[in-house]
Amino acid sequence: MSDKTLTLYLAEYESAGACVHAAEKLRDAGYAAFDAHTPFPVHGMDQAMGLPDSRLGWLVLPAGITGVSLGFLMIWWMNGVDYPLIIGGKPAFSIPSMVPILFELTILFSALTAVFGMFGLNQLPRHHHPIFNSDRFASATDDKFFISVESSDPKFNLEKTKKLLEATHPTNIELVADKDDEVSEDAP
Amino acid sequence: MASNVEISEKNFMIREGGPWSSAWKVAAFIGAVGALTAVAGAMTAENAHRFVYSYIFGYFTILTIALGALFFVLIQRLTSAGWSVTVRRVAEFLASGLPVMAVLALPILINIKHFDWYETVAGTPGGHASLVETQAYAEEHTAPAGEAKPEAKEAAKEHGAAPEHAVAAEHGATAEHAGHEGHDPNHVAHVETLDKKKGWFNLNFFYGRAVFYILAWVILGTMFFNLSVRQDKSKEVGLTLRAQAASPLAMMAFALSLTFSAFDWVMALDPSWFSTIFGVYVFSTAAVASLAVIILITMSLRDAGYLKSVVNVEHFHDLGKLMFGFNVFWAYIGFSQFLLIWYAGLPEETTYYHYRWDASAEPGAGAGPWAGVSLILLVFHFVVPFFLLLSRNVKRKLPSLKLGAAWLLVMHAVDWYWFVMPNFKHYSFEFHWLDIACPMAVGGIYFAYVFFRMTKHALIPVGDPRIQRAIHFHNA
Repeated sequence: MSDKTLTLYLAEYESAGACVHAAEKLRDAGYAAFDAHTPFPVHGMDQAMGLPDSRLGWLVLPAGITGVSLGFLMIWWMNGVDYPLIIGGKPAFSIPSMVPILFELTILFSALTAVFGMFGLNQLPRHHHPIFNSDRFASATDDKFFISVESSDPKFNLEKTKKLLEATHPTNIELVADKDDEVSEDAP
Repeated sequence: MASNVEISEKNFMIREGGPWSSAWKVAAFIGAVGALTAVAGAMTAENAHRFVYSYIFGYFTILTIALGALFFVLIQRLTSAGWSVTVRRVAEFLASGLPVMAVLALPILINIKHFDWYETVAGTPGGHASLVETQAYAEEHTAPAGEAKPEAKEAAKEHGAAPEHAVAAEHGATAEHAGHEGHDPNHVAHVETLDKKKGWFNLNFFYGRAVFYILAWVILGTMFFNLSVRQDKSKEVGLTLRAQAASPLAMMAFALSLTFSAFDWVMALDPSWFSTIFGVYVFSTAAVASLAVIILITMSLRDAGYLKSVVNVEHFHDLGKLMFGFNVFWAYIGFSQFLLIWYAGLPEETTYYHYRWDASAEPGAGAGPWAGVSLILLVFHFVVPFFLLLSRNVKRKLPSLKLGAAWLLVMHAVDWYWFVMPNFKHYSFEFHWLDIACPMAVGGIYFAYVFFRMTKHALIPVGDPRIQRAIHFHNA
């Protein structure tokens, strides 16, 4: 991120429907650095925001394959080569007895990759975001719906963005900046 | 996504003259041809025994579809599901065919003398191939004692169906056998296991259980269909609540009837073998096959111009997810059964995989004729569909989902063939024309009934209070 202070518009809506329509307008106007904040998951929001399919699957699949391969190598080396033991009259290296472990390692690698991959793709953990400077924003976890448009978006413009947001009939629009900075009207 | 079509009964009826209005006739024709052929086979002495096995294969291939559809209906009712309302009716049609399946169980019940255990219980030996094997066991038992053998046989003949006598004879045989050196250890296990099962294979108890399954299927298949169809006209919310209230008990009746009918009519084909997870395995085949059929019928209805406004890619995506998930479950349960039996290595349990993997006519000759089918199941029922249906995009594209559903349906039939047929002949894979005729007969009659009912009622539950939620359903 540049050294420019992150500023954002925060538009507040009474209903999930209004919020979805606002997201559609921003998407159609070509904005990308905007987000929706709702008290519960809103169906259709992904399409309304124009979000692409999650890339998480492309991390999880190789992780799962890695898990199963490493598990196979581990058991092959331990039971088959390094320290063969006959257990229950079965061959030292026998595939059926490996399956539960291979399965578990596939799940373990996939699940951990899914969780931490999700953190990574969402740029979490994140210790600070100016949006929390808004006093009204607390009700995003209660009964209000918000759209935020960040100044890092190339299309962001104090006048035009505000006009666009006003056209979506929010109940409130505010400009939020990092607390210590003053919002200057001649920001980009 | 909102539809412009008014949700009313007349807008969701099958139109006269289209392919779906006469689909039942096609099914009925297939059923009639299959039934005539199968009956002709059953009448001849050489094929009568084969008929029972082929019929059980065909019957369970179809029965699991009907029962799986009932499960789908029950689980939607139990969870008050909103998303599935517009696809639920297809499952209800499929489950409404359960009374037909109850009637079609009669050929199995009439022919129980062809089950291997029948002789043990009723003391009336039949003359067919598998029994010869069992008889060979019995002769092996009594052989060292020499004189005891004719007497035991005489006694069994005289007393005909008296179970106590057969028990006594078997007991004697077991005792004698134990003293004999060089016998087949599997054999002792076989006889002892059968002995312990005599209470279960008591004929009155056996028929009593059959009556329970049949009653359960007639009642559940009819009741849940009627509750839903009556709502089409009355729009009464109370009917939804009644279906919901009835579903927990219905779910138990479903689980018990599915598990124990599979125990009685499939697992008992190899009477000394047992697996406590077998019912779950059968359930997993039912869930996968019924979802595949629901997907195929719903898509076919859409292709014919129905349901376009109320069933969309979101519904297919969810049906596909369930089908994929239950197919993984199928593999999980199948492997769980295998692992325990493989690890324990108990002779009366390992026979199942022995017949399906390494049993060949000559001992020690390596993989037997059924090993190929076992491998096909592993690769084409699990590995290939797993990677085929893994991606979200594949499940959201109707042609690829259709391919996956059709694929799994074919593998479902292979799976059931693999359950039943190794019991007919342990050492050989012989395809028989009855293996085609019997599924045609059962499937044709069942689907003729289901398709006929589809022409009489709306294709979605138009009176369901949650129908709008289903129409506007989205995957997040």
